[in-house]
Amino acid sequence: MVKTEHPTAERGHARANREAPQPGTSLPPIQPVLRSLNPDIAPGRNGQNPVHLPTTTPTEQSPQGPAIHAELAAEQHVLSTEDFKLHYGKHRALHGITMQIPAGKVTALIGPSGCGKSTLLRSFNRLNDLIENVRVEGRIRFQGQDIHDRKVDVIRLRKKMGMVFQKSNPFPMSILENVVYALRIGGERRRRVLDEVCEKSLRSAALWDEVKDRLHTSALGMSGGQQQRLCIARAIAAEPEVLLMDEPCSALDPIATGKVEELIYALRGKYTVVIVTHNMQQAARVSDYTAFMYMGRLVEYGPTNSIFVNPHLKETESYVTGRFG
Amino acid sequence: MSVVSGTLQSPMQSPPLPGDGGRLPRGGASIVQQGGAESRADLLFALLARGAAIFILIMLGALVLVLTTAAMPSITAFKAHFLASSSWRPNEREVVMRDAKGNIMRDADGEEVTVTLPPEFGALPVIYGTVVSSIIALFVAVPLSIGASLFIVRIGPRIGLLLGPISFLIEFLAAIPSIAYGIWGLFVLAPFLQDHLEPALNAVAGKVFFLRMFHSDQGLTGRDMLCAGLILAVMILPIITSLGRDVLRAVPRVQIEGSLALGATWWQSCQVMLRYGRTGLFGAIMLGLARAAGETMAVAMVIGNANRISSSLFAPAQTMSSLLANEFAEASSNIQRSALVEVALILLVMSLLFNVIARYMIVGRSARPAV
Repeated sequence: MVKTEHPTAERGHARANREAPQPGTSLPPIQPVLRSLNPDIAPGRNGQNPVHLPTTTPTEQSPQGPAIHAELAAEQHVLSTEDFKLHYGKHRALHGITMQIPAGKVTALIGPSGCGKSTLLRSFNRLNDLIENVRVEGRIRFQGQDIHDRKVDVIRLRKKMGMVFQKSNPFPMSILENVVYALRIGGERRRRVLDEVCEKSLRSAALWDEVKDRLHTSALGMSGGQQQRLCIARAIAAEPEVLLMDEPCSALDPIATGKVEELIYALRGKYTVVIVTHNMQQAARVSDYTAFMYMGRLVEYGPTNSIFVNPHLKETESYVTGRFG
Repeated sequence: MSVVSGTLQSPMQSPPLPGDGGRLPRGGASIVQQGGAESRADLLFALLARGAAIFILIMLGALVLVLTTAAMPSITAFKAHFLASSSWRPNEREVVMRDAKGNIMRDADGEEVTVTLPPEFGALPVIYGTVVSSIIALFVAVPLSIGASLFIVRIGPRIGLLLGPISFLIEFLAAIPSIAYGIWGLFVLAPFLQDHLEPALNAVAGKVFFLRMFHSDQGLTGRDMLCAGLILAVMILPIITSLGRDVLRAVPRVQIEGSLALGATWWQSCQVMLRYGRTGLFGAIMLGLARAAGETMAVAMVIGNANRISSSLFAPAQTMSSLLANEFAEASSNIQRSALVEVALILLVMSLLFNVIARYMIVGRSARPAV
């Protein structure tokens, strides 16, 4: 039986959600799996040639390495990983990821469930520290500083990286208190400052007009889409440098999704955004760069346009055209 | 995705049994009710279950009815005064009359003038004792329990402790009979308080102005309000801890991660957890309070059983349940028995209220967003 990473993730969008095979811990060779799932898929639809998929086992390094497009070299990097490996107990979830996140751009991480996108995202703000038995190797650098260094204060690191989760998670407080939570825990008490930050963040999140008359009511009374935009406003209020988004629209309906996507689009330039998504059209719509991951490896990474229109590798092409995954 | 293949067939869709004579149409059973043994059994079971539920309600109703009836003489005799009076006089008593200056009044023969006071009962001292001992218990037990549940949920798993045995031991505390706690309180806690803790506390209370009300001028026995409160604290610790642990464990992971991702410290993320679970925690505390208020044997052994209101925590006192345990067997008159029953009725109503509030907090509101 195939394991699903997030059982509730699939509900919101049916558009580009054709993935089915999810590499679990011990995955049988992918072709038979695909064939058993849907006999029409594996040999290639429309009589095309059989799809070529990476068949490397998780333990060996793929010989050619990931295909990194040349455009990335011209960008300024704020965040980078160097041969970053992550293990959950004995299971290795990330196999030596080396990539650089360009500053001020939106970078999408795509790939089938269980390929390590979310794990990588949560490594950036060291949220995986909370999980028992997690072991990391290699480096992640934020503004040149190794984030696993002993000297690094993980609290300050997280203050510089806002995070938006798959499921909206407003705290059981008023809307205002939610937005200014980061300031509150930083010790800010001045009413005027809090009000200003609240209004500014809610305006950035395109939520101000909808909630300005009920800032002091519970955030849990908002609709799902509003709650998610509130969480974005809350992340922005802390004035982070990087915004990490873990499938932020997967639980939203198409209208709310559209609003959040517009918001992400508007945030480019001001923030470096890294977004994990299952929805390939979403990646195509909102991101400047796209990284395709598969089975804990980076497969191809380049400008979104090239990844979707003219990928270098066949595996990427199969995935983005929906022929597998 | 699984390996199950072929078409699924429910038993109803199998070919008609020979006894049916081919009555069923091809391709499936009729959806019209057929009647027969199965539905009769269903009906019977439904009736039984309903009857069982009603029976329990009837028991509760009968309990209240019997207590109210038995308490009636006392209710009619003392009315609301019962709740406000401090006197507890099971037998009629002759007292000497005094004039306004406090001199003993004498009649023409020089004999003292006396009046006979009828038996009189008031529940105020025992209500006071119950409330104060419960407050002491909560004061001690709540921080300990919440701390322990936070430890079990947040710290224990990280440092690799075996939480099964710890949780088991905490719940085991709840299963110890109260008389065992009482004996421990009588032979260990009370002497310890008498010899070591209370002399010092009482001395401090005597010197500090605003603690003066807690000072006791009598000899310290160790069997007093403080001792009862501490015993109760030990007894309600496990119930608040285990319920609190369940409440905190049910806090969604994204709440904790959400606060941490915004740069919260460990304790700040715990505050989010406590806030998220605050109605449930409040319910757990109310259940603890209900147990503290109703606890009988252990309290009766250590509280000193003095039917009076004393502001000092180091003076003997009495709670409703300990009063019942002490006096019911020896109640001499009908009116005394009736007064005791009325005390029991008050206790029942109080406990019922605590429980209803607690259930409402834990069950009723958890489904709705906490505001």
